Amino acid sequence: MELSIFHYLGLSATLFIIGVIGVFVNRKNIIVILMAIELILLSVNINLVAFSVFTGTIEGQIFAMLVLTLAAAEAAIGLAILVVYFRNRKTIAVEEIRLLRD
Amino acid sequence: MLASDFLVSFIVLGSGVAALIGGIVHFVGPQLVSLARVDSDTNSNSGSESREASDHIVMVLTTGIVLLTAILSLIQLVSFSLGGGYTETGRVITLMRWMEIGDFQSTWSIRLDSLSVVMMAVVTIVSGLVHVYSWGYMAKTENRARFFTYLSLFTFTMLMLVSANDLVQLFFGWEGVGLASYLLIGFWYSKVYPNANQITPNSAAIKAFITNRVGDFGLALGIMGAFFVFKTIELGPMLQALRENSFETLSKAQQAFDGMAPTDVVVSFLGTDIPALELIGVLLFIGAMGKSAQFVLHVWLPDAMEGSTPVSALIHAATMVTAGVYLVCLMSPLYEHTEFASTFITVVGAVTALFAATVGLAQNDIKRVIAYSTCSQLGYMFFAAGIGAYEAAMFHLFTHAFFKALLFLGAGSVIHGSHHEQDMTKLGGLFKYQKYTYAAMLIGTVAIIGFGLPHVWGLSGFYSKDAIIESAFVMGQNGVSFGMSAFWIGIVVAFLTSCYSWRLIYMTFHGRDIVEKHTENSKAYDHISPPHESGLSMLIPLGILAVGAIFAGGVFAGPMLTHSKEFWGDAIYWMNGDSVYYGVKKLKEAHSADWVFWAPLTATILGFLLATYAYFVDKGLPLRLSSSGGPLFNMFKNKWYFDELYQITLVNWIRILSNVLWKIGDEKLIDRYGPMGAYRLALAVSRKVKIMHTGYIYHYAIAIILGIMILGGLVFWQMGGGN
Repeated sequence: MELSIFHYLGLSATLFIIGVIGVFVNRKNIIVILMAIELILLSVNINLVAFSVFTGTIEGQIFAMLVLTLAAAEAAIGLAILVVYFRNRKTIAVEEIRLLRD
Repeated sequence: MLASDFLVSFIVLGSGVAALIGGIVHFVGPQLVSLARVDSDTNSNSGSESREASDHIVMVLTTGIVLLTAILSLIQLVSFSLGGGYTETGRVITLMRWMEIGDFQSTWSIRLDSLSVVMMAVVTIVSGLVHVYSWGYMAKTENRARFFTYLSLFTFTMLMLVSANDLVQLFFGWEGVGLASYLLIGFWYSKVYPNANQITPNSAAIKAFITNRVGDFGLALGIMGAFFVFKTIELGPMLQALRENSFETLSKAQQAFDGMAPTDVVVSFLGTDIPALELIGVLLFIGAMGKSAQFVLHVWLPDAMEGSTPVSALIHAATMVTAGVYLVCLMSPLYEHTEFASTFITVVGAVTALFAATVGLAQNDIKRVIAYSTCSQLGYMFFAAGIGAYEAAMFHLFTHAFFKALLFLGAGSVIHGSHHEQDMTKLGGLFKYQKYTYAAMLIGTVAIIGFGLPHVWGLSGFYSKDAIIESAFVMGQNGVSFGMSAFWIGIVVAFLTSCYSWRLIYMTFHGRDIVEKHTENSKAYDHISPPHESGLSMLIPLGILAVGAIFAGGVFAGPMLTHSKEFWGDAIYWMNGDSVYYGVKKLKEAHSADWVFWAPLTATILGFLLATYAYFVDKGLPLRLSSSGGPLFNMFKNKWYFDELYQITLVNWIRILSNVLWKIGDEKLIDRYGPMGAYRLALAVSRKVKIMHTGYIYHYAIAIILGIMILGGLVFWQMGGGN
């Protein structure tokens, strides 16, 4: 069986849906939300690289490198925020984080 | 050429630069100084020390620059009156453009003519001396940087006023001096008195500012009227058109008023046609009345004495209050064509001279006496200008600046030396303690009463005041309306001037000793030390001004009066060609009415004798007069009830109206439905909206993702799937 672009897009769509579900089904831990966001970014990366290969252009791959960098930075900042947040409020449970409402 | 341009610009702008730097240093200086010495000095005192240091920087800077400009402008004046020299008059130095709106053009510029040269000299010299004097007088005051900055700001705006080449720059200076006056009167803005009826510096400042607004409204209307008629506000062309009484040189005005002369232009005002020039003349003079504290709008000047004494000397005696006289003399080509406006000026000036002199007789505050004296002398200048003797008005302005500043600074020395006592009934016998101040005040008094022998020699006031009185006589003979009345009022006022001036000297420097008085009613005297003489920084300005008060008249009477035609040149215009003083000169040479020349001196000596009689021979007389409380005395004592009148007719009603506007208009309407209404609305709406929120991150995430999906779906559907 030859791999067509639809296989890649299918994988990417699956990852994306797992990521989205991970964001809003999870009720426990914010770190899981961060990981889910990473998954979403990865699915975007697969899309970019797949289109780049199948259309024979290089821009998509360059863009994927940029997205990776961004993802790394975002993860670092997100975790840093979490650490500070935990230090202040002694919890990172999603259920407890609802200050915006009160 | 270029060098002299630079020097003239420096005279006008130097004090402005000083004020600007002074202001900046006042705000950031203390911080910078304390930063600089942060290592060496960490005690708690360093804050006030760095404030002190920056105060000194500002004082040195402003005083230095203003003194330098004073020296330059004195050289300018002398070289000009001797003919030739580094300033060539009749020239305009354009600095930069200011406004261009259609036909309306205004530039920042310096106009050099004899009027502005004389005024520049007066302003910078008195200002320089007052700066020096303030070193001593304000030595124990906080925030001296602010004080000196205001002084320099005043000097700058006053110079902008006198050097303006168009009426809008003049208006800028006019408002600028008003602002500086407000700031300086209210310098001690937090001061309150135990007696609630005594006006505080803060409310005196507001009173001065608001009273001046009335006059400034007239001035602004006058400027608009001038633009309406001449289609320009530049002084040169406007005054030339007035001198020639034709619009030939002003093409735009000629188009508008084809074939008419400026005197023919009429405007409709309240349903009647009146000559435009008369209207402009009266409106400009209303502005002058406000600034120069003339009758009806004079009420702010005595209360302005709440400011410190150097300020009174500079602003409320020598310079700012004479701006009105300067304006009338500057517009002499206009007033030569307007009979009604000139008569109005004559009447207002004469009434002010008489009114202020009578009030001055009955005041007990040393500064208020001199303030009313200023008011009265300004009245002299105005009726001189009204009858057409502009040269005499300007000359009196010039000499008056010296002796009135001298009197004020002398009074300041008295107040300073006797520990802030300015009630003359509590002063007395000071000549023992303050010999130099006494001498200075004596010179000032002899100068202001105009002592001098006709045909021989006299002090400054003699030349200028007698020139005014004699001009009034000559013009009265020539049939100028109210000329003769002005002459007689001038004589009476000379008598009154002598009375109140000597009364001031006798009450302050002679009579029972101040210490003796205070030990008797010991509750008032809480000072341990007897009065003392002031320091050198205060005595030196007094000395210089005393020299001016003695000699300025004699030295400058030649150019400014006898050769008035040559000296004033184009700056002052006399319609019938000859200056008014030329008529006086002819009368003097003809010996036909010699009594006119002796009359002011006689009145002055009578006043002196009366004052001497009352305070040396029949010592109980003044007390009997004041305690008997006759109607005339009460009227003088209460300043002709002007404050009360305004209180009843204006102030109370405005208070009530303002209260209504404040309590109902502002608080109940605007605040309630404006800012507070918006605030309450926002609060109520957000309370409702809050219910929809859960606060869980994943709920918001769902909303975001669903939103993106729906929007994205719509976009795709629109782009491709829609058809």
